[in-house]
Amino acid sequence: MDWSIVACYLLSSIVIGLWANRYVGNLSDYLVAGRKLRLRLALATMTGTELGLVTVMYMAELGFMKQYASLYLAFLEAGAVLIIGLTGFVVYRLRDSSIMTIPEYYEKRYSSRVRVIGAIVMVVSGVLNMGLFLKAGSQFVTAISGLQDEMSLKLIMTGLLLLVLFYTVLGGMVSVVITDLIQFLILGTGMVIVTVVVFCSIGWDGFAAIVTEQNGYFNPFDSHNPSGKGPGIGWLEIIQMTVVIGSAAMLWPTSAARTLSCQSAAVAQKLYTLSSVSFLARRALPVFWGIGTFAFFASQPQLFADFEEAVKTNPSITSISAMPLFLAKVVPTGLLGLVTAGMIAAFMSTHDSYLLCWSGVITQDIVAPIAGPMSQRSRILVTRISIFVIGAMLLIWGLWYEVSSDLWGYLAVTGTVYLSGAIPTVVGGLYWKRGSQTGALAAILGGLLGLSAMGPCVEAINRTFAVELNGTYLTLITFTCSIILYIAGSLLFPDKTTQPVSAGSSASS
Amino acid sequence: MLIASGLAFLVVLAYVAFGVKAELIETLNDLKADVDESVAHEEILDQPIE
Repeated sequence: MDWSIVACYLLSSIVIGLWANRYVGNLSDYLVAGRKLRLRLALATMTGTELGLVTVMYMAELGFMKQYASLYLAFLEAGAVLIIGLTGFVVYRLRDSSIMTIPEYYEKRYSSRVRVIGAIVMVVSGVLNMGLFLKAGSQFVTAISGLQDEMSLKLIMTGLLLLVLFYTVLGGMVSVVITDLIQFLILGTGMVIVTVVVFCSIGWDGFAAIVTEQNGYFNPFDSHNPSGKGPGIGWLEIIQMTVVIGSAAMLWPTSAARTLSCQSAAVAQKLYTLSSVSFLARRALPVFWGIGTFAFFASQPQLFADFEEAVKTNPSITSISAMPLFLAKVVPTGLLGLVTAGMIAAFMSTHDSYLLCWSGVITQDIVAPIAGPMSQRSRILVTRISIFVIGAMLLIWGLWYEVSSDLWGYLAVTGTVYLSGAIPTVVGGLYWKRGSQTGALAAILGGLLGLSAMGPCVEAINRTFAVELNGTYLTLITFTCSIILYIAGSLLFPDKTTQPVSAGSSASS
Repeated sequence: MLIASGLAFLVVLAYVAFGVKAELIETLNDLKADVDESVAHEEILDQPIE
């Protein structure tokens, strides 16, 4: 029964992909759904995209390892999104400028060269960022289904990815929005069910005992994790996450794609205000499951010891696997199918949006400016090819890369490569008249310094220079460098004719 | 706070579920108009743009 529910859901995605294709008339329809999204649809696609299986997995992992302390991320992000929604900071002007991608703004404000280089950095960062989505998804499927055969697992994940490729290639943003809506409803229902089941399984006393009896981690400002399950948090990491999450809330390309697909700037602003609830839930609820997982294992010391032994001896089991293993034990049959369908929906709704977003950037902001004028038909074709190429890269990357830090740490670091350059370039471009293309280029290229915060690079830096840096320091250094480079570059090399903020200017190609 | 965030999410879920059908139909109608226009002026799709 569980698997028949999942199969029904997957079949419906194929039908929607075929059906949505008839609503794609031109490039704008394909990339930003003709900029016709109303509030509810935009909210569904925003939540569906940003509430991915990978989010559920890494937040549950944090909840398992750092218990209540990890909730600070949820409040940080919800607060940032709410402030953006209430003030319209950045998002209002971006939507008002009628662009289809962030790099398109780079050209309007700075130059074509900034657009192409900014787009290349964005794609490198984005593809690296989503490189581990497949692996996280496969760990969920393994743990919740008990599937041990590695080849079968790879085939299942490849099949899921091909399904996403199928409907995304066909219907572009129209399919993505419609499937996101269904996925939002399924995964939203699934999340609520899981939360209730977890609460009933552990009980109020069980959650309280984490702090009173099981040395649970509660205060994120304390850099010592009393549970002994991984490192603590502390002030420096909170500052790092404030910078990364605040930047991502404004300018993460998949969120920005929803902003730019809205019917108007006012709708885009309202979208952010309402999305603050979804952003709170996307982190808080999986953390709650992770905390429940910790309580479950902590109440059964032998089981906990067996799990930790399995993590050490079996490379396919990590701390990420704890939450789905726990769910497989406490969620009853029937409901488990709905939950699995919900999580697969989360997996697919994130992949489709990410694939379309990066492919659109490759076409609009790299291929077209370099190749010269291209027709709308050619652009749609190049975008479709790019979707397949990125899909193939994901398969390869997801199969061989080993995560050397926690999953969220990896995502924060890879996101920094793009965000650290984009923040000064876009915010400076919108609100500071003296921002110049030299400053923008320096900031964007400065973001590449963020690659040094990836696990193997940190090890090499520490070995070579006999220092003890970590990803947190290097991320903050990267953001600081990019901002300084932007300001210094703009002041030392101003543009000959400085363009003012281009809010409300004419529609672009 | 966790319970509050769960309840708030339920409200958002209900807000989307009740009313999204009409929005979806309106959006699809708008898109269909775009498609009809593209079919009527198909040459626009083949014109190179900057």
